[in-house]
Amino acid sequence: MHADRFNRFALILFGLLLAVAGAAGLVASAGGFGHRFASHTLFANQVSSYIGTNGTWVWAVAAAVGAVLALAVVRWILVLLISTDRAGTITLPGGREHGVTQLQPTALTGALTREIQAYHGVASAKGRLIGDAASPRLVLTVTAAPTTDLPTLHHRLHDQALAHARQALGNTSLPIQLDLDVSR
Amino acid sequence: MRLLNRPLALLLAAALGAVGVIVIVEVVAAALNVRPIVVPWPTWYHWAARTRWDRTVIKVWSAVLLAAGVILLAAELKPPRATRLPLDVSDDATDAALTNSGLAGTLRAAATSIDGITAADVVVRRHRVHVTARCAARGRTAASAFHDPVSQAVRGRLDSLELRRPPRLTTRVAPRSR
Repeated sequence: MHADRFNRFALILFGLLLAVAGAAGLVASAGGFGHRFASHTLFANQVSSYIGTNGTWVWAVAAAVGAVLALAVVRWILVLLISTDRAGTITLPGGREHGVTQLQPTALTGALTREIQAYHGVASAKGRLIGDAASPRLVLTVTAAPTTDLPTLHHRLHDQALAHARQALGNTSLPIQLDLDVSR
Repeated sequence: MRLLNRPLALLLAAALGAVGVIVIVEVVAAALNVRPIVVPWPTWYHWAARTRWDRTVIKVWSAVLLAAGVILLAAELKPPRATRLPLDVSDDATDAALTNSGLAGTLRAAATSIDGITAADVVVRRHRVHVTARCAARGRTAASAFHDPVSQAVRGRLDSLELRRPPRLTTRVAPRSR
């Protein structure tokens, strides 16, 4: 799972836990679980009694869970701090009898943005290859001048630049996200 | 929200990691009959052992937890704001779109291409675009003369963009204020 998706999942889970704990506390406090329960102390329940009588192994398990949690969190933090969605070096398809050809993503995006910037009406272009190197996805952002004929530019980008990118990677169905913007 | 998720996730991860380490330290300390090292858990234990569920402090903290959880859930589950309008494309592998600011820019250029229009404000929403053009002339009567040419120019530009779902367009021409 990608880091951003996992972050969202973890935050949703945490939010859900907080909401459920808060709601349960409010219900218990207001007598929703019975007025007798509301007049009990926080530890006067079966779970607390069980932990009290089985403390030796329950706390040992808690420490083990704490260790697993700490290790998982270290991994999560490392992913958060160093992860990137950029694709690594791409191996081009073709026969391997005479060696393999590898392509640095920046070589492709550099050539592509230079080509696009030479198009009439283009103010700037940015590109990056994201995802797995075996099945990358190209994300292009092209900023045009305000008076540019955008449909013509769009067709030219589709027929030339995007076709060139697909040809370079030997993948006629390379997924491409093209964002057209207009400069102020 | 995606930008905020990373620092939030980092905070959550750090807090969970700290809880994991504190549990290990305190369990080992208790097993060795050593006094609490990081947190005064016996104080908390005695407080919880004598505090009833119907106490105000429980209600307040439960409400705080519920509110924090609901706010976090609402923020995470809210659909992201649409910032791009898909363009008609002939192949499935290409996801082409015009950004909201791009649409605003090209419509602004279309409006100001009319002689007498000095500026235009464009607000792009998910299904709607509002264009307010300002003309050099004073008075509403003079401004109304610009309405049709501006509308036609902006409508023509919007129609030419080949958007998959063109937003609804409203155009207004405002006279020079002073």
